[in-house]
Amino acid sequence: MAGRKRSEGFAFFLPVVGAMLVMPPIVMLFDVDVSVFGFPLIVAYMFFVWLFLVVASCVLTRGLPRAETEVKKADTHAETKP
Amino acid sequence: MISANLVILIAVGYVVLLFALAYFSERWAEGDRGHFLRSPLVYTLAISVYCTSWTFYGAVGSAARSGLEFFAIYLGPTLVFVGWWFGLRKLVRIGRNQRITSVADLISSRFGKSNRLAVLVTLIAVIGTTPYIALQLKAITTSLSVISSDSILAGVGDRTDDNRLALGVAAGMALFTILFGTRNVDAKEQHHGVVAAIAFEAIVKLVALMAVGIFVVFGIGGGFSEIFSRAESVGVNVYDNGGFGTRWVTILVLSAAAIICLPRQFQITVVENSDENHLRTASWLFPLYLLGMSVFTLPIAIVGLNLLPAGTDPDMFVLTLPLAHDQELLALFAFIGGFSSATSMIIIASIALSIMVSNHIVMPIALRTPWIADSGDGQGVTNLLLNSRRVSICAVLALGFLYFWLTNGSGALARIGLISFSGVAQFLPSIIAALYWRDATSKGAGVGLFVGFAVWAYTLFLPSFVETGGIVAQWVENGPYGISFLRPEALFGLEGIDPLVHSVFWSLLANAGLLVLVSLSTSQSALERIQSTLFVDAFRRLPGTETRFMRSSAAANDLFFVAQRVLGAERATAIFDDYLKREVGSRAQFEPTPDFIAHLEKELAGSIGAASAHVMLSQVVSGDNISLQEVMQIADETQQVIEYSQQLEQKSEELKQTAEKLQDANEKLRELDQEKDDFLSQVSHEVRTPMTSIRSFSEILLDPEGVTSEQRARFLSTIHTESLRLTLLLDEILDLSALERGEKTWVNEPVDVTKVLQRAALVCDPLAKSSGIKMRSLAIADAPFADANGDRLCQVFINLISNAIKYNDSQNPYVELSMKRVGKRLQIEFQDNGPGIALKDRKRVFNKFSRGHRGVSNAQTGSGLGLAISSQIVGHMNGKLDLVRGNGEGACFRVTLNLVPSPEISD
Repeated sequence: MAGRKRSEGFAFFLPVVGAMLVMPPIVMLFDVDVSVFGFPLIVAYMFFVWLFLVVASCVLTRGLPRAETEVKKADTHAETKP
Repeated sequence: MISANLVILIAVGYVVLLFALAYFSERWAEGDRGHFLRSPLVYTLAISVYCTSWTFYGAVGSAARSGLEFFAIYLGPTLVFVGWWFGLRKLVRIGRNQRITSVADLISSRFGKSNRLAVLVTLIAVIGTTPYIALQLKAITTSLSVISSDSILAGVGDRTDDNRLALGVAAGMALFTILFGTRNVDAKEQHHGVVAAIAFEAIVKLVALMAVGIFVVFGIGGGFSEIFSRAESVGVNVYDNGGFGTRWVTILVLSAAAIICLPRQFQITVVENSDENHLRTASWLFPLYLLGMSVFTLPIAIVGLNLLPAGTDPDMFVLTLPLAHDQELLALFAFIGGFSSATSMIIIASIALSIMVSNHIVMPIALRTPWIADSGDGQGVTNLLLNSRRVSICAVLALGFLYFWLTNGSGALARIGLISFSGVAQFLPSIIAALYWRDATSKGAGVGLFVGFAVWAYTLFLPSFVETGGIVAQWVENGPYGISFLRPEALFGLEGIDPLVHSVFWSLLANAGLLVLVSLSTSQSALERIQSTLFVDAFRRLPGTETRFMRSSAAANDLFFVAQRVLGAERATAIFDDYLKREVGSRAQFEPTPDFIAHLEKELAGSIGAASAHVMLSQVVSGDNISLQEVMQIADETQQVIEYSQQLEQKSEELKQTAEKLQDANEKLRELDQEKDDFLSQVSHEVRTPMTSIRSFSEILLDPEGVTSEQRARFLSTIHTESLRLTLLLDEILDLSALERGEKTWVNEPVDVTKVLQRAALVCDPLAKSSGIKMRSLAIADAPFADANGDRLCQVFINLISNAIKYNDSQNPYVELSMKRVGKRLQIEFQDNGPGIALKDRKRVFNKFSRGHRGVSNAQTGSGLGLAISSQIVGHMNGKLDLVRGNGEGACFRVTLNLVPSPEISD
């Protein structure tokens, strides 16, 4: 249960952090004339934040409980199969 | 160049492929292979209907014109999906539990199943979406003319051709949507075939865009670094662009709102969702899809600006770049990708809008119009619903085409994407309130939506027609009737900010502000309260706990379907017709009342059992069919049940107390019964002793021979004495029982206790003298008056004094009478120096027939009732008779009486 609570906390925290990262004023910190591996810093930053959100969400979802509906459905599905 | 006919042929072939895909998916969905169609992957791909041709082609154009702004369009939805646990999950759960069919249904269902709200939301959705459909038509026609024209400076094809093509596309889409979107009226409004086709299109458009991107970056652009190094020279500011102001934030918010509020997104995300757990995958896969869609956007824009001649439409770079490098096959693929984006949007949007229009506008009207609905058999309602959907789809697409036709070439379409977003974003405050705010009311939502929509229409939608000139241009320039204060793009003098930001700010401020303000100042109806609990506490309820009146989307025809499925068409029709004839008369006023539903339920129960019938019916019985009064009545009944159970609890508590009392009383009765038995046996015993001696002496006297006259006289005198004792005993018993029953009228009056005491002493004087006992009176206060009965008090005193005299066997016997005031009470004490009363006897000395001196000679023994009687008498005078610890070794009795003022004073 403690793990679930923690996951829920992160699930709330993640979009908030994501929103803060892509909104001013934080985003302005990266809006400067610098290149990273040939990418403008701001473009690299955007993709980095984006990818971070994708990966974090993917990892986080594993810690969140599944809804009951699918379990039931899987059961009934198994039963209806000959 | 590619021949236009060939392109059209390929497009038609592609649509045929979609038809086949949808057709087979629909069949697979029923079988085993349907498992894949209901997978999270297909669900996620279908959600990408978000990426329309506006993003397929337009994102590059946007990047070419405004740099990084296109990121915001994708980042908003990304944030919403990453935060799925707190937003989308609840929305999907409610959608499943309440059988929500559209965004209009969601808002109306939450706010007391208000049909007005549903109509308002439907209208906003139609007005916000139709131009968007026109935008897709424009994208298709423009891309076709680009790909099939000689010059890449395209977008200027023959208008007539454009219109014909757009009409053809609209008709084709209408056909497709009607075929696969209105095959049946599913209780859950899910269209597996369509979803499969959309998922397929999602892959096509992603792969197409990626292919073009890879070609542009690595084929002609020379890699990412090379391209970005050229960015500045072509005017795309990717370094230090300073574009992260209010417009950036506004677009983030708008796109986040759009992923929930757009009718097509709601349709896919909520209505077509077959499993809540699909969100788990979509939460990261959909953002990843968006990421993939936008990786190459900037490079394509930069390369396009760099390599293509000035004046090329940036919106068509995805097509023109391959064309310019003779990659016709790639261009064709890109065209198919753009075509996919456009068609998927058109299909889903028209399905979503048609459901809204038919459910919330056509059906309510049709059911009130006899000549439409009154077709006699139950099938009419089904057909009516399906036909209204079909007509709605045609109407929506016709509107889209009409809009396209009227505005084509004016450039007004270009901005429609964000205008549409901000239009549907007006649903956001109501949806958030629906999900999280218990006290939001229907009036609040209605006023907020209406005013927000009006402000949006005035500040953003109206100015989009500015290029058509006329009064619109005049208003935008100078304000309506020259009132510059009310200029649409500078409302209340708010100038100098982006028109989009301006409009979104005012409309959402008015919308949310009024929602809160009106909600706080109005109250909810009973149905609203019930629905708000069902929505806000969606996770606290297990599915199936709702009662039957809490469902949202069902109507008479749904009942009929259930009936038909269970009972067969003939029987179902018979029941409905019978009811119509008997109760209503025509289908016009047909509204299934609870009675009818109960009746139907019984009929169904006859075939499938009561429990199953109830479950089946509660899936379709809708709140719309049960009037508010009935809901109130049900609520009242609940209240009554609660009150009743409280009353029961109270009563059972009372009963418990009564039972305890009865038990106590019973115990007392037993005690009394025991006392009575004791009393009787004692009385018998007391009576028996004198009776025995009387009988034996009289038997002796009956035999006159053996008795001398002297003996006779003595025996007679004994008989006489014993008779006297007997009489005395019986008198006392009678007296006692009379006292105990309180039969005698008892009058207390102020009595001079001193006089009474003197009288008693006088009576006892001879007895005292004969026993040689001294009587002493001590500390007798002057004439104290007590509340008493004089004669009875005298009786008590005599009893106490004679007891003290009778049982005193000391050498120097005396009785001491004393009297003193203690507060408002008067204490009279009788102290002797006799044997006293043993400690163990002290408690029962006032009981009947208990004597303190058992060993004393029989002659002196009294009835044993004296003290009991005295105690009763003193009790009647509100006094007390106690045995107290006196100063001597003998017994000391104390009579306590209430003092009263002497009659002289009171007179």
